[in-house]
Amino acid sequence: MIYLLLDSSNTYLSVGLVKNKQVMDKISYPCFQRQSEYMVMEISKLLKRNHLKMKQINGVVVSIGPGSYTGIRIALTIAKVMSYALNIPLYPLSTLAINQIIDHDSIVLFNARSNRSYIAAFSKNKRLLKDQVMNNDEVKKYLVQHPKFLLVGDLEYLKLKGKKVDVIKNMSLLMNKVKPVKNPNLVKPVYLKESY
Amino acid sequence: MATILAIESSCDETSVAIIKNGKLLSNAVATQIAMHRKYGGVMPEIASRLHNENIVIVLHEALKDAKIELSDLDAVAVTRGPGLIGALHVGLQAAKTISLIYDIPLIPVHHLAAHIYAGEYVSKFKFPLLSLVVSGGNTELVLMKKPLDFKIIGETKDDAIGECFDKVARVLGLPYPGGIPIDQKAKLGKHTYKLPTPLHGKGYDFSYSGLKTSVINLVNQEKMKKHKINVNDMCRSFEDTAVDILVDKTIKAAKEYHVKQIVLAGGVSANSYLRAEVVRKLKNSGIDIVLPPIWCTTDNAAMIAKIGEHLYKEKLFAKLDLGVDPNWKIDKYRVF
Amino acid sequence: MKLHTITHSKAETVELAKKIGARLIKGDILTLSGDLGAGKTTFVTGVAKSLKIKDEVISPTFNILKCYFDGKLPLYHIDAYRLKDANKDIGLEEYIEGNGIAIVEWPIYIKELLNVPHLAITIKNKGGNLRELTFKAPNQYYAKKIRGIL
Repeated sequence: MIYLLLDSSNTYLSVGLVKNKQVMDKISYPCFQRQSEYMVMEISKLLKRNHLKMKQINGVVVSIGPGSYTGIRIALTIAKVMSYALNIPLYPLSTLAINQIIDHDSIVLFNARSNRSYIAAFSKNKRLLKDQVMNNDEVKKYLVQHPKFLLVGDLEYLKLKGKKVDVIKNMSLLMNKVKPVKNPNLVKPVYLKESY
Repeated sequence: MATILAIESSCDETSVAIIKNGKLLSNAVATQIAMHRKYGGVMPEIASRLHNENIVIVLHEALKDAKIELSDLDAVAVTRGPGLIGALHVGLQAAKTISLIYDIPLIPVHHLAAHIYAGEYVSKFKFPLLSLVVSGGNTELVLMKKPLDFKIIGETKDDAIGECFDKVARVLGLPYPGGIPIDQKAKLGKHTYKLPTPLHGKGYDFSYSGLKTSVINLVNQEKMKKHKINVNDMCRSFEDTAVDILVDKTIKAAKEYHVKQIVLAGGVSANSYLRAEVVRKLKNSGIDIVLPPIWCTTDNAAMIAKIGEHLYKEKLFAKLDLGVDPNWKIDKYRVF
Repeated sequence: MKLHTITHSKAETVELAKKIGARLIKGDILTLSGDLGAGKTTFVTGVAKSLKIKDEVISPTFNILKCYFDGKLPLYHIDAYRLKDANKDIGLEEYIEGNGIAIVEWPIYIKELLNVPHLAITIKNKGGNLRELTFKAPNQYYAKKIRGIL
């Protein structure tokens, strides 16, 4: 079984191929606001160099947020159309979950704007804090309360530095923990900020 | 001949259409589907601009109505611009994905050029022609000397006429969008209010911001004098002023460029007064008039499909690293 | 800090906006409030000039967001007018707090996205070509942008 993995939910563009639970190949690089141009092209490149065609993909693993509004929709649109056209399931994963440091306590943070953050925390491979929006003052308190946790994410807005993770590797591990979704219309971007 | 899938998601609406050998096989539009169906237990989102949530549903509807499979397609055409950047991105990904899966050409389409070509559903084009493109966000006079040849000879310097209608409607307490309510009230009114014509210099450019401001100033002045505004008369006065200058400049340009045809295009081309005036003022002029069918004046993929066919014949194909251009100018439609 | 001034023509408004535009950097946010026809988009024209943007700045009411990438900095011109009774979750926050200069007309309709410091400008139509502009800077940072500008 071959799976295509896609993430464009923040500033990176990441595409990967997984076969027999192993990551076969991947392309991942910073691509701020340009994923719309390059993502499908990189998928094409990845397939070509592994001598594969789209029709051989058995499922699509995709991050669905919370994160960049536009970014999420790029990978998710590709994934949904693939799912529909090829009649293959989607494996939707939380953007925050795929950024955790597996086997270590970690807190994942991304800028949710309006002085807030998207935050999640993981400990001993389990969820400590579910995906949510938190006011940055509360975030700072949370960080103080969990000093030994490694931080991951685009943290410049908090004037912090985050660790880098291999998102494709994480996705290949986390996909086994979610139920595949056959109807792509059931998968929606996760926004968490519906405050209107 | 070719079967082409067309995708349009440039602003409020998500739409997919299929055309084969010049015949439109289907034209699915999200806000219309949403009213009637459930998709695998999921109620399609009715709110506009939820393109990611709608796209597969609309795609499925278009294929079903046309009785076509994705594997039957020879090409996919998509709106690349102009429009709202985030909305354009979604349509583009859908088109690129289909292009990659089925290894078929990707055709980038200019939204306003497509509005013009909607006229072909009614009549064959005769060149040279002049198109008056009047949509939600645009007001342009476009000269076409031959097929797929676009030159802007006049445009708005500020508000589009559609926006002007919407804003004046709001000032008068009428619903949004303002085109139809103003048109209806105008039919009951008389041109009693004096408003300045939305000119911008001697050329073919327009400026509707001034007209909008004049209506507002007039309404405010009347309010201060404790006079009641006759809404019907104000609508008549405004519509006359807004549309007259449009028609007059169009005719002037049509004569200067010796065109054989005038093609109305865009959402505002559904305005009954505009349509009637163009026909009336051009009677016995020898200039043909193409009024697009009302169903095709608003944003939809059928118009993308129509011009898509032409572009397919020209082999105007893009690579998979195609990006959107929310400010794409019609005379640069070959540049992408 | 609050500043008031009167402009007597479109050109004057544009000049004033140009001066302020010259002091803006990446991440700055301006809001423009005022009735229809007050001259909000005219003001944006001036800022665009300061960024040497060649594209014509026209009303973004219909498209909600217009992006100008050809100047010294990206300019994001937002008009929230059509979002009054509509779905507001369309990702505008990434442009407001983004990598360029954001100018928001009708900020009242997306106030949830504007809980961050910004220069609030109000334009009042005083009749004819007269406009009264009010600038409100919420902190020292934005106060510097308007200090001595008049």
